[in-house]
Amino acid sequence: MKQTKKYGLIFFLPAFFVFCSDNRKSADYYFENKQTITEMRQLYEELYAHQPFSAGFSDKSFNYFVLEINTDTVRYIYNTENSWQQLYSAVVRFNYDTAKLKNLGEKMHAVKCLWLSKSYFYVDGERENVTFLSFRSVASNSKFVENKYFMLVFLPRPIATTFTIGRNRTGELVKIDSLVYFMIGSGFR
Amino acid sequence: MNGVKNSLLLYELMLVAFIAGCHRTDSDYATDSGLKVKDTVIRANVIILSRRFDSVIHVRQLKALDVLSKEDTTAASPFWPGVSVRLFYDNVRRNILFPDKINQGRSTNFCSYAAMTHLLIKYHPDLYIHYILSLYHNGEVSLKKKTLIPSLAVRQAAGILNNKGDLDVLHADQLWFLTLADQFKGYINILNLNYDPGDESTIWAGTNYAKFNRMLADFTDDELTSRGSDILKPFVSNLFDYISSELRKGVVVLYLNSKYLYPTKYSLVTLQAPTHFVVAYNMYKIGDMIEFQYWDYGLRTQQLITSKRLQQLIFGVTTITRITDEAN
Repeated sequence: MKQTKKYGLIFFLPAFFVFCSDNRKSADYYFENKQTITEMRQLYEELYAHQPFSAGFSDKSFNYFVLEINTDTVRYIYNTENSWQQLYSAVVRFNYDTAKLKNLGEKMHAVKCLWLSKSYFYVDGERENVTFLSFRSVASNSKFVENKYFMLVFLPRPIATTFTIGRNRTGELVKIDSLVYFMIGSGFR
Repeated sequence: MNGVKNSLLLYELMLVAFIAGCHRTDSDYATDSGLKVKDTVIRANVIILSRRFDSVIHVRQLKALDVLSKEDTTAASPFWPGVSVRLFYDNVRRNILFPDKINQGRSTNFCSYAAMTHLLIKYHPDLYIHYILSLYHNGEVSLKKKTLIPSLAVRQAAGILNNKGDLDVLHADQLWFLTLADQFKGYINILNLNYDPGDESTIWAGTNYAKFNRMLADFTDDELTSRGSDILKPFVSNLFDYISSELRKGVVVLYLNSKYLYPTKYSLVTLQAPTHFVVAYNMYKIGDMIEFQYWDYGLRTQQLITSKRLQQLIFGVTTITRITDEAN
């Protein structure tokens, strides 16, 4: 009997942790960080208008910054884990506003934003661009929750039809308001 | 001995760089800063190598555009009810003019077909125009070594795929990729051989290494050499040296694990298996790092990786040679 209880505990304890810690981000997260997120988006739009790019971090500690700069034919990927010098050279070469870029990086670090980019989809043959921000989906730092991502999607205008974004198939989009959606999915970019 | 070899290599590189001097028109690559003199010399070498087929390709491209200009671009095909005539011809013209922009679309397993098509259109646009028009008009096409007859389900699905990014409006690519996935099969497809809607993102559309090489061989008379497999990595002592030498011989396709291309430390485990096909364009060393230029998703990408990551990344290296022979 004692043995049964012991094995029962071993079996149920991890499951207990999984259920208890399944506290994922939702629309509330957007409202709680709305000001910072709005400022980030504004900075991003200004920098993006100068030269399209995506940015984020490549590690859990948010130490290494990744910048992907897109021209019409080439995508340049810079990761500070490999070379600070190359990233710096690229920022100078593409003539970005360094103060704005630094400000954006600091805000992304503050709200632990993994990735900031643009995507697109087609409605009746017309292309619609959207901006999205990705975060880890768990509200807590629990290690027992499945690794998924919380993605905030910003539309330029209200869209009546369903759409998907991102390179990989991800979760269902949930409407926060007419221009903002969120999604819990397996991919963050 | 090594010193002599290095001196000879450096001399050869400098000679090529001197000859290449006036050809360095690709500002995207040539103006990159932060490089030492020797790196610039090596870079000039690879640029001229990537442009060595330009004149032959240009003639083939003009030939393909000439064939396209004689087409009735208003006549719909009874074999492809979902395909818009306007989008089909727009797509074919765009492919011939800009083969780098071939895109597998979003949420699909079409990467192998996109890589193969990118190479076919880039180096054999005259063959591509013949194949795609034959498929459109007749519902089938005879290749050098095989005839492709797409199933009814595939013919009905082409043109109506949606939520696939750019592929939504690229009807010639929808028709083409679906046909390739339907007609080329490998062991990976054995559990799902027949197309059902949505299968473009399932193993129905998957490609193993042998199937990819077979596909390349069936489309042209180009010579292929391949190293690697779906499970075991290529048995070469130094992958960087091997790929660099292959890039000097011809066009190189890499079969790799894309998780290591865009590394993140958010996941505890990364599956050690190949997932993606890319076309390698340049690879050279900058200090301890490797600068890698490759094509996928309709763009060229340039990034730094470590030697260790390159070792983790690659599962197969296919080299295509003799791509400009008149016989082709």
